Amino acid sequence: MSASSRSSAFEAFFRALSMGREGVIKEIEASGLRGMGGAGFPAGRKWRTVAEAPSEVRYAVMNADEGEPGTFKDKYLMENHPGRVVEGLMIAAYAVNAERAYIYIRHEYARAYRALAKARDRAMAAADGRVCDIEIFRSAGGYICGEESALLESLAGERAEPLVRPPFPAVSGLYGKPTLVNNVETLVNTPDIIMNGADWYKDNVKKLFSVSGDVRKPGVFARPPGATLRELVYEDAGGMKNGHAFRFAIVGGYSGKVLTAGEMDEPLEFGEFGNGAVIVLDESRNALETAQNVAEFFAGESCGKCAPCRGGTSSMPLLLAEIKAGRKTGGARALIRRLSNAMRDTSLCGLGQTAPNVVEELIDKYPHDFMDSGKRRPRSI
Amino acid sequence: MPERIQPRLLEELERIRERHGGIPSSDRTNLAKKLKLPLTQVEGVASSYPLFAEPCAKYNIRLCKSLSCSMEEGQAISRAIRRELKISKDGESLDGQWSFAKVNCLGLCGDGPAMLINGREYTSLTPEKARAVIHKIKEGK
Repeated sequence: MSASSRSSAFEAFFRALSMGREGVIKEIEASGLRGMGGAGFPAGRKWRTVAEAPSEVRYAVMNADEGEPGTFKDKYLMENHPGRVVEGLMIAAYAVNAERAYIYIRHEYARAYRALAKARDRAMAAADGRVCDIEIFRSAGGYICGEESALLESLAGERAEPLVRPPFPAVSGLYGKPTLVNNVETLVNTPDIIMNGADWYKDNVKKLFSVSGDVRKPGVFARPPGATLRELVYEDAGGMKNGHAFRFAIVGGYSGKVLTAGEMDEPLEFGEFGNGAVIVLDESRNALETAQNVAEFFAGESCGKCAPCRGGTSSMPLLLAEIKAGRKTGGARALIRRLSNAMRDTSLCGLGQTAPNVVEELIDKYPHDFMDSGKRRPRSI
Repeated sequence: MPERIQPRLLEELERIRERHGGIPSSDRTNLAKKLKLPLTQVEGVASSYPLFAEPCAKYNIRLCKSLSCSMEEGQAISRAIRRELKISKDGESLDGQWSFAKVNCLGLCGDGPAMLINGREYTSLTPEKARAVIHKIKEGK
């Protein structure tokens, strides 16, 4: 991300006003901008759905509830480019003709909150009534609040639990009104698209990757889609630390996937890199203990609303503990399979549907770590 | 405009939490009366927000337990804090001044291991550094 002085003048917002709502939506559609929170849904299509939904009242919401373990790119953007983040939301709110816009930010992000609050005040002064109010909502909630229907429930002051979809928020969202929900990184791209045009953006698509774990220089790095894990680890993050060899990486956070050393050169595309989190683990790390950490995370973060997720996420750590104890590992592994399939097929929202991903992939790719204790390689996390 | 009593509930809960570090049960009852909501609704909403479940203490320590932080001495840091403050099994110090919880990702994976104390970030922790931070807070107040 290049720092830009013009973002403080909100020039892109004024350009957007001069283009008209339809002009802005057409430009975003033509740019091919996709959701950067993980799903990769075309942003322009979402904007049009909200803008054309038959309703007097619409809302625009920026999802700043970054909570996927290993992800810190939105925090980076909000702390370092708060003006541009707010400007992105202003453009979206204008395009869909929102009555009110919200920034939904997790409570832990105090520094980002302060930066955004200042930028919001500057933006409101600069816009001088030509954009709706932007309210910053500090969430007391957990991981589930990043799921957009749970986020909107929470914003309305209800229990932070997801709803059955459809209807999607673009049709029926906050207070039952059409609501645009976009990730921070999605919106931060819109000022550049407005200033430089859709064609420029198509040649300059960048995704932010949050790289952490056993690397020398963890950080946030911008790469075009198609980047490889090898580039991220060895060129951007300075390679492996402590002289250890790479063993595997968890890509896309705890709900993402596992990449082995043999998969380091495969190009990462939308749908594969998720939200861009990359947690790197070296040869001293144990796949079973990694799986336990991931399973315990979901057990703690499941909201408990639906049975497959509530029961599945709470059983998974127990089954992994049995494997860890070295008893009945074959039976426990078979149960994990059945449980994972049930969770994927029948959970209400993305949390339960994706919770088993990393555990299953670790078992598939590092079966030796999940064998009876005598057959394991000695490694510890 | 839709009725906006519910968002006020979260705002009020946050105000109480800021004052007490958590939500005392007497305050829940008072809040229900004040907003003319059933107590079950106040309890129901509050209980789905982890932040409102924290014990009432002057200082809340939240240590990250997600992978990138816990890989580096996470266990040792946790032990050091527990021992330093004599944290009991339910996560509170003997004198009731401190609460301690291991939480999920704080977005500080690039500078881990990390913790928050009353919202303030402490990064690149070691057991020694964690102890030093606690000492400083104890002496400063």
